[in-house]
Amino acid sequence: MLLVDIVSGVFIFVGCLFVFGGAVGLIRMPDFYTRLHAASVTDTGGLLFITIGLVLQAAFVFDNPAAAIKLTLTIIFLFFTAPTASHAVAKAALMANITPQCQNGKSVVDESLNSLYSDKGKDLSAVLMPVDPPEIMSNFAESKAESELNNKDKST
Amino acid sequence: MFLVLVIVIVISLILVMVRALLGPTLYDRLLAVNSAGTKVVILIAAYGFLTGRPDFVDIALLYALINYIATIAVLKFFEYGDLGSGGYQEDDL
Repeated sequence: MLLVDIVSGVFIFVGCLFVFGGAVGLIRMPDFYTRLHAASVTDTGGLLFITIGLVLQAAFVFDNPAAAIKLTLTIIFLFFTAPTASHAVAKAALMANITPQCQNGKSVVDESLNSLYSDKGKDLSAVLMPVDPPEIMSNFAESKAESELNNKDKST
Repeated sequence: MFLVLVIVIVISLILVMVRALLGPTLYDRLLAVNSAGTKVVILIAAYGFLTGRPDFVDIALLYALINYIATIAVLKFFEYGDLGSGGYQEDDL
């Protein structure tokens, strides 16, 4: 019993450090993408450690295996959804022309991409998504029509 | 142990909500709200253990599901201005 308490206490302490560090990073970081990094990575890691500690407590101290299973489900689910949500936020911010910042205060995208693409407004999204999805769709439709024609030729 | 966990999470929740109120852009606020949702999931589970009722993890699991859907829905609404669109207008295709 005592060993379980110590081990889960260590896990929960490490998780608390992660979560608190992430919250401080979210306040202190200078730029949206650094804030995203601080928040998302530490949220996932802190959640993992805290939930491992809680699973140990639920299984061995509270003697409640159902709660342990549900906590494990929560870990698995959040390990899929938290990075996906962070990725979606980052992609939406890039699409809204929020550019990452260098240490000297200039924008990374301005330095590296704008030398290649002069127009700043619309072309940034064209750089980030090189192939237009509607183009893919029309290519797909054309290739499908061609293959259907070929099939007809073979059948006749 | 659970009391310390709850206090730390409440403090970080306050810090995160400060960022949600200050945030210069919409995406900062959205990131802070998403992060606060994850912290609330942990808080609900930890509070259940603190009061000796670990069955609270049901609510935590449900809150994790809702939090993810809410973030994606808000992002989609602000990116396309519509929750039902497939991402591209019909005349584009």
